[in-house]
Amino acid sequence: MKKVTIGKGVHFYVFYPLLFLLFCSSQQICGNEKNNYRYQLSVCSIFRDEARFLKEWIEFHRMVGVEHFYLYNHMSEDDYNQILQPYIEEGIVELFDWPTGPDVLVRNIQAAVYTNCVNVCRNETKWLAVIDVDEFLYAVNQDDLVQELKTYQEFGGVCVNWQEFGTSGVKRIPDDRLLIEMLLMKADYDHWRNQEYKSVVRPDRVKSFENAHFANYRLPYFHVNEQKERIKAFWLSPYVTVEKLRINHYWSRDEDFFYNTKIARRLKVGDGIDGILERNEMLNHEPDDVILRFVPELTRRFFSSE
Amino acid sequence: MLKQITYSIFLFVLYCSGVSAETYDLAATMIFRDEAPYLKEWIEYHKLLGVQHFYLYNNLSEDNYLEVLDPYIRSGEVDLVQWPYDSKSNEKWDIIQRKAYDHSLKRAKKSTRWLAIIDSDEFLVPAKENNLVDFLKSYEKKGVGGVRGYWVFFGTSFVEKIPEEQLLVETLILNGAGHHLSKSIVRPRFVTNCLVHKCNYVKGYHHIQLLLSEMQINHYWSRDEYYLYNYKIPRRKKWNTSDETCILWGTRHNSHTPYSETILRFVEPLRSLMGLPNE
Repeated sequence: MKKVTIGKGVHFYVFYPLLFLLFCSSQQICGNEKNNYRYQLSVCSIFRDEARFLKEWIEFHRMVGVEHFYLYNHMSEDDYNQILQPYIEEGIVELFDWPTGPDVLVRNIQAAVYTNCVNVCRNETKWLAVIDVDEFLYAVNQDDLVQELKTYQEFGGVCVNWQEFGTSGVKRIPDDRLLIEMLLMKADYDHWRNQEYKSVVRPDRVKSFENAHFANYRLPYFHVNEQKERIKAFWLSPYVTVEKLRINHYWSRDEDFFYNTKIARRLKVGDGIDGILERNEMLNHEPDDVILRFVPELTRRFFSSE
Repeated sequence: MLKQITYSIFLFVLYCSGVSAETYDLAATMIFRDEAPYLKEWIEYHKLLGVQHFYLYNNLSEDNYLEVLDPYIRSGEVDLVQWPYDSKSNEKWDIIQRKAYDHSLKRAKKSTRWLAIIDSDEFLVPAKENNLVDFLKSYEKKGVGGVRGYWVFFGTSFVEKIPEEQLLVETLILNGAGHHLSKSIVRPRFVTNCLVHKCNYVKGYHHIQLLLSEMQINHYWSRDEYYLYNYKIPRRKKWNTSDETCILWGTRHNSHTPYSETILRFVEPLRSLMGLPNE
């Protein structure tokens, strides 16, 4: 075998580029160091007949740092298209129709929609918040949700507890007021319903969505609560903690919505009328004004863009 | 040794600069059966948007498709291939489609930079650009094997039959907004094989998913009621899709959405190309 000596010239032109290539490819293998996502934070939601509430919800989340919305319409019969049109034209909202078959139980649809959404946005967005249109997600100690999420970026996802709000004695939210400034009564902080949570996930670390609350992650990733404790994949968290990340869940919205829309909807899903009314009662237990710090800015955004 | 290195660098630079001998910037492939009344509008629309060549696969048509395609075959714009395979199920049809796409990919690899893989009831609609070749230029970079666009699913718009002097794309306006399924426009050089809704690319290459705000693909699945009841439903019956489901799909996606009007800016030029008068 001929002996090969490596001269200084070859060293420069071959060795260092090779080293560089090795470095780049190792980044790819270790994965998730890429920062060329189109969006840092997006939201996925499925909705039905929510036209009245859509705009405030979108503007609120844009205010806290959401860049893109994947919205799935489920058999709406109201004028959601008109509300969403300006956002669609700007590319902020992408609207999909779901499902394309006969009506199915709400509980079954959500897992399918969110799984689909994760597949759709896997390479586009770093974080995906999977919430409903009556849920407002925000960071407690700062305005920028994306900044807060940075501290969780080593995990597959973070589970955020909600505080559930009732009708708060409001017959109907006036057209010139915000929902978040009118509905101020919520359930007891520690109520077991507040142990429910929603997930903000890294889509490229998610295999599928199990239900509306949590995802199945690719090994070795898993989800944690806001305290960075690993919690079980179950629809209730072991305890309520909303010190860093929080969702205001306006389950019944105003009385108009509650009596004319919500009750019928829950009856269809199999809840009993007594349970539904009782839930709303219990949701009007104590005041909560944490979200009010956003009202001035949101008022400006919401009403000036009309 | 130095000579070898210099030569490889030269080849590398040449490769990077994208020197190639492709005849077309953008071609389309499509497999059809009994679509004669709709072929001309589909071809002229995509020509308007910059498609230069068509690989069309006839699947057992019994109508006058040859008469419609003849001028395009003679001008060399259409390459017609007979693909006479039948299927008793949706899954088997997928395989027949895939094999047709493999066939067209083989030829496209040497002849075209981009290949759209769509059906005769699908229309590529860029949101702002008027020419697809210009639109696709920004995706001609390393690592990008192709782009995928979401469907916008159109129903019948409750139209009984599209009138003779009217285009399909100006008559059927109502739809169900975005659909989660996509179709692809690929760079054949970097494709290994194509399934119906997605393609597989060579190592290091991936697809870019286009937003609905960048490009939508209008999918006139049911066309008009005449087509739905006389052609679509019998066809799907063979594959065990129920009548109710077909009717549901044709009638549920019938709303005015922000995606209704995107294609309408092409109606006037398209009418001229089709020899129809414009007001």
